[in-house]
Amino acid sequence: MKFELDKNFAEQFMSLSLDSAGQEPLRLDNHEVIQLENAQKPIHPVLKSQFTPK
Amino acid sequence: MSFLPKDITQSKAGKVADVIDHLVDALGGEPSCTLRRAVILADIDEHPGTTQTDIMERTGAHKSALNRDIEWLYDYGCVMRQQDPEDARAIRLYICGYAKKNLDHALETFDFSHKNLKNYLISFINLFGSHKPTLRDAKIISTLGDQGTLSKQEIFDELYNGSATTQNRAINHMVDLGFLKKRENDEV
Repeated sequence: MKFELDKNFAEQFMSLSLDSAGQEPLRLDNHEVIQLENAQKPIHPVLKSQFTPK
Repeated sequence: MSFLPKDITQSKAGKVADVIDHLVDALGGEPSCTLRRAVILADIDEHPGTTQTDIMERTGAHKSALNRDIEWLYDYGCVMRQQDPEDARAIRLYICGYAKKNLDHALETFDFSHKNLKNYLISFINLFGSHKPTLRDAKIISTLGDQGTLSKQEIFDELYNGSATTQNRAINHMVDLGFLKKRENDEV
């Protein structure tokens, strides 16, 4: 059995930039806001389920 | 301070895997340490003599969680505390030698910009949603991002000293969260 990154997760991981020139410093402990407001692509299904009231 | 030249042919994910190795070395050789503690360590390095209140204001970390993180960094010898001679209530924080040396290696990939490193790590943390990623988790992700498809043993080979149970649990947890996929038809 082998393992690979989920395609959507891999896309989000690979889109992270090593250079944040011109970007404001990000802050800890407010990941929900960042995920929802800055998401360029649909939120990963697992993450989305975490933000959706059950 | 001199470092070996960067390998410009290395993939971004491969560079991130190397950064995680340096962060593990900076954080007491403890791959179970959370990525957020690496952010806090980088912030202390960027602002020598900073206080906990200053870190809270700059990073937005919650007080109780930050208390635990700084206590952990102190217990592992990554930071030292000094009382401010002019204000007995203020405790000033400084990064310690080996943590500084290894954090500098991690910063090399980010052109020695603390902001670049911290922003990258926070963005990486945010990908995990409510799961609080450890350095081990980050190494698994970056290794698979770099190398594509790997067997469990091949992933283990890239990880740090730790029990097979711990490493197995980390992989299984990320499968459960949907970050990793199994490919049942491949031979080991």
